[in-house]
Amino acid sequence: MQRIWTILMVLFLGVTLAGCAASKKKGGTVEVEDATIGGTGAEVITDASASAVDSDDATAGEIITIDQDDADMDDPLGRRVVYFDFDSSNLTPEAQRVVEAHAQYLFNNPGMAVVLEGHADERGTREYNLALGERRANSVSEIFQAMGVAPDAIRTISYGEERPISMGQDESAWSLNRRVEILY
Amino acid sequence: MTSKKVTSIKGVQYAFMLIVVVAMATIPPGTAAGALTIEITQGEKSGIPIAAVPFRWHGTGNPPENLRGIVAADLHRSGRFELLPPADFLSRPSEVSEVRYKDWRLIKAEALVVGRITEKGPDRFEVSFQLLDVYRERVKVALRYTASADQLRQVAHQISDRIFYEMTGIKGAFDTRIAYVAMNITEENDRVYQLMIADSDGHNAQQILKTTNLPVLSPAWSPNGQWLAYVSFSDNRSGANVWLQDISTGSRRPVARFDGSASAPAWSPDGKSLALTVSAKGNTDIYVLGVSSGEMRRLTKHPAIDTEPAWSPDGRYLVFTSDRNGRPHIYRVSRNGGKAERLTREGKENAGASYDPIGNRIVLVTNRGQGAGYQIGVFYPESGRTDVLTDGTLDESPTFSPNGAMILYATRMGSEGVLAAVSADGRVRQVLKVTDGDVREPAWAASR
Amino acid sequence: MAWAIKEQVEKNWSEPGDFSGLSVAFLVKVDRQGNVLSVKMTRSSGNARLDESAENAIFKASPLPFPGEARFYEYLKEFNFVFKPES
Repeated sequence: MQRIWTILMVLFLGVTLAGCAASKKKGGTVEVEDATIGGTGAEVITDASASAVDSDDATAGEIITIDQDDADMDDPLGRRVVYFDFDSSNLTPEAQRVVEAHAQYLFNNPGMAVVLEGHADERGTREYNLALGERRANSVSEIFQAMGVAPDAIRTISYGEERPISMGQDESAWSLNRRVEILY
Repeated sequence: MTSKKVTSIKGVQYAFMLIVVVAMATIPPGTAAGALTIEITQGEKSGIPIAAVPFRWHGTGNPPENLRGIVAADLHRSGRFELLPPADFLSRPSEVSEVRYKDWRLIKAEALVVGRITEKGPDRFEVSFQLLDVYRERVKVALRYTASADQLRQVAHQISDRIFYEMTGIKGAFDTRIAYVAMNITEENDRVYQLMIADSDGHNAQQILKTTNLPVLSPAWSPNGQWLAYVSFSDNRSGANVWLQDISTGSRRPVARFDGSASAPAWSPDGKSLALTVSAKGNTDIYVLGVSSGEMRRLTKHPAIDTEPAWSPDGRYLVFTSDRNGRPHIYRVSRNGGKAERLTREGKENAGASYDPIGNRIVLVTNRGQGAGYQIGVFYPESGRTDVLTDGTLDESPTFSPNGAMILYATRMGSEGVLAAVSADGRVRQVLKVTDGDVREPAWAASR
Repeated sequence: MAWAIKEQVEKNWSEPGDFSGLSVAFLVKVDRQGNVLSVKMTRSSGNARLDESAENAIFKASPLPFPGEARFYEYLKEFNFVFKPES
């Protein structure tokens, strides 16, 4: 009984956290203001709201039937984020396995579009990190393409260091921020 | 003098006599023969001692602005002045006729600033100020301004500019503007980005753009101060792009449409071109875009990351960051393209470089290795030397003041980003009071 | 003594900028207590800011550190100061 409660708690937390992550991906808005002295208030010129990008909480409901210990850790398709070493865009063997599984899935399901979002940690200049995120997303894209995913179905975006997952300023936080998110 | 006399003098005194003898043997031109010559080669670097007296207020209620405070903060921040504490002042004159120069020589002030603010009508003030030479007992500058209350800060910066020029021979840059980005996270966990414009001391901040969950970075002023180029995102589906915004009308547009993303805008000194970084198919290179023609020219072609272009003041070269040899370092290429030359060799990595207004120095972000983190450095291309000016761990985005005397940059106080100014010799560092949240990406405009 | 005087003037000289390569010379007269009585520029550097800052340094350094014995006054009542900033 105790164990079931624990699992339910973990699941509840998981869903809540996934909800937080998803809320960060709300559509953006832009307002422009006149900077001349005595300028009037904000004028919304663009409402660039985009639909929320699907997040990685899709499988949350299914986990209940799976034993906690091997829940989606063994299924590379259940993982939508791969991590990188500092200033590197090389995939670790672990990341390679995850990327290949997604490539396989997308190859078998043509017509699906995928967004590869590259990110960096806060060290180094913002512009360099923007390029680094791009390069990370591209190294995933290259494997996708090599495994037969249509180039038209792949879109890469880099946010550099602008969208950290973890706000800390140590290696444990940085390592979570050096990532590519595979979104489809 | 006889040798007998010399030998009768002992110790230090003997050494002194020797100096006299040597000095008399080698008399430099323009000095009186027969007298001891003492050569002075090193002064104190603590700044020119200057006394700024609180401006006298002639009006009702309280003065609308603390002009002395603004001027003193400007001069101090530049690192070129030592502001003497008003508690030491023996008198509080407000114009030259009230000045006893002896009072100021006693506290070793070399220059004295006095002034007054007079209420002339509703929201109309007259400001007069005088810069006085304490040792030669004369007026160096006397000026009078008429202003409304909200123009008084600008008057104070103009006074600072005038004092800075009179005392150093370098044009002041206090009456200038800066741009920066402020980011705040809302209770709903949205990231709100504001592109701001403020006076050079961070006051009078005005928002010119606000986005939600769409990052804004790398603002760059056009040389005439009319446009800001910056990097942002139009929605959650497209990559970064470079935008142009007219800061007087607020109208904005993407500078071009790219197959891929664009970032890191840098205006050419003539304002006709923008250097920028384009990432397409995983390759990041530098291009030059004609602002009105829309014509694109590729400047670098290398599988490595090439980014953060910046023009030399004569427009002949661009420096940029590249990791083509492993770690990021600074390279230089002709504006016509061709082979890039590596400039920085010291340190583990260097990035984010830009020239000073003369072209002798390059300010950059440097990582010296051994876990030192990122500091602001000044690199001298002639000698290859880098002077590290700051001691943060994540200092970035350095930008020279238009007179080359100061550098503004982004640093951290706790987990919050703040703007700080450092004198170009690294001696004086000061955090700017900006209270818009997490602040970063400063850019100093060339003019007001 | 010459070193002490040199040090005292250096300590009071606030260089207004980098003027390396220029030099300015003064003839300085002092009284028996080391008080500066007069400063005469014998050669200008051509830069008024350097000239004035150097002259200020001499005034600010007054009274100069002087030996107690009166007989040295003959050697010290008049000096040349040459300011030759090094970068």
